[in-house]
Amino acid sequence: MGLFSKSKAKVSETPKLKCMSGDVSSYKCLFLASYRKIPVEIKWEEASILDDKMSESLKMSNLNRYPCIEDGDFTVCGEHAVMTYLNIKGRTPTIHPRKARVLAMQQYWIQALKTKFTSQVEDQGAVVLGVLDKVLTDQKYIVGEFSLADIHWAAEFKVLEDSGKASIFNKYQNITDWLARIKTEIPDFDVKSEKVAA
Amino acid sequence: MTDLFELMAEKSGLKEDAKYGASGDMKKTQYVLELIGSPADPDTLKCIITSAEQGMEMNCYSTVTDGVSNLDECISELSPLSITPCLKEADFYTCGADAITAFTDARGLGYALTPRNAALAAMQNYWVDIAVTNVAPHVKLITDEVFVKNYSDPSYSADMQVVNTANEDLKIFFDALNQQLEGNKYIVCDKYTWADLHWSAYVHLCEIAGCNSLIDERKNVKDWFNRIKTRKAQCGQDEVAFDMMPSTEEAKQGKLRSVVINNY
Repeated sequence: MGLFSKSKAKVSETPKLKCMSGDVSSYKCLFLASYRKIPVEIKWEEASILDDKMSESLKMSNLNRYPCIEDGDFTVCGEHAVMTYLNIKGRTPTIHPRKARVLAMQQYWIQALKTKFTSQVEDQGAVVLGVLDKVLTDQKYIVGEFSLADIHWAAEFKVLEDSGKASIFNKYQNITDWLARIKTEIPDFDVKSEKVAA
Repeated sequence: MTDLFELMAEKSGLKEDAKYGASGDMKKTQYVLELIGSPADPDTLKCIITSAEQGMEMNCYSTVTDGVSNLDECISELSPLSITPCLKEADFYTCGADAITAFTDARGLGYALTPRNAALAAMQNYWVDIAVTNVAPHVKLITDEVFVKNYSDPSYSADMQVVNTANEDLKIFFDALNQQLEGNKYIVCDKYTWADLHWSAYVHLCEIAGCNSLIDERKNVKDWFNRIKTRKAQCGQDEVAFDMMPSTEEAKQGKLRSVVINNY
């Protein structure tokens, strides 16, 4: 090929994001793709499906790790892995606080959601929401700037809202205000579409 | 607010004049980190490994041997959601392994542990996820029996049925790890990543709790773990991060080692 000859346009397929209906992890990944404007093709599946193929190939049964992303011949499953992939792919800036202290706070709030918040036990949930509401008193976002912590918590509230449990959090004014703001910043917050972002 | 770190530093015997940089001969322009945790807690071990890997000195205080009488109350002042372990750097406090390891990684001297390649980074976190979600609960059952219950009741002897069942349940994940390590120096590629760091904390606890067969019966896991035990920290200093891990005896006594960097 000559130095100035036109190279063939690279044909790349849109990555497929396999989500599970009503699954918080799936919404987290979908919101991240939407916020970072990563084109992904969403495929919703029912919760009754069997193991993800990745765990199966390693002979780890019943892990049912979702969502999964398929990009060409690469597949990975599970919220943590898929979010990492979606946060590096694409041309828009990665969501990653530059200051170590802000990064630590982001991770703290993600861990708080995973390990301390449960909507099943009202008292436990209330303690975490009370602290979160206080944090949001004078901050636009959970750690000051928009971070993955906002995406994680927004997905949790989205699933609670969709399942008619918004009363768990809508008595907290700062959380409600923050969520209203987040809804305007994540383009596909309310949409279950075939394709997200362009 | 009570400074729990100060109280525990005093109890640990770490005198004020022995504190890093106190004499004015700072080895580098950074604060010493302080950590409150437990030797039987994999999250504490992850924080210590990260600190050693990144060349950050860390004074470690054990909730078992350096604890104060109102420890739970003091911890909830530091960490309103009672997430532990806890870290202090100068005027900054944070809690939880995810926050502490991310903070130390960002602050440290070595390159960041997450691969830049999206696929490798995703695979790394797939394996971290397996460790944290699927392996951790079984390891906790083992460490609770072998170490933790002894902290409050020295006459307690481990219920071996619980230990053996947890050991059995872990086999499927160690088999998968063994398969993944076929042809790989480290878990996701030939570079050390967070996946190795997380797994090494759980594998070490299994080993010192007496569940060595999980490692010894799997060649790739055994070879990988031997590499982990001897590899030099990635910060470039002449330290082996794994040397900071508690031995069986130390874990039984509830003792933690501090991260001391000797070679600058």
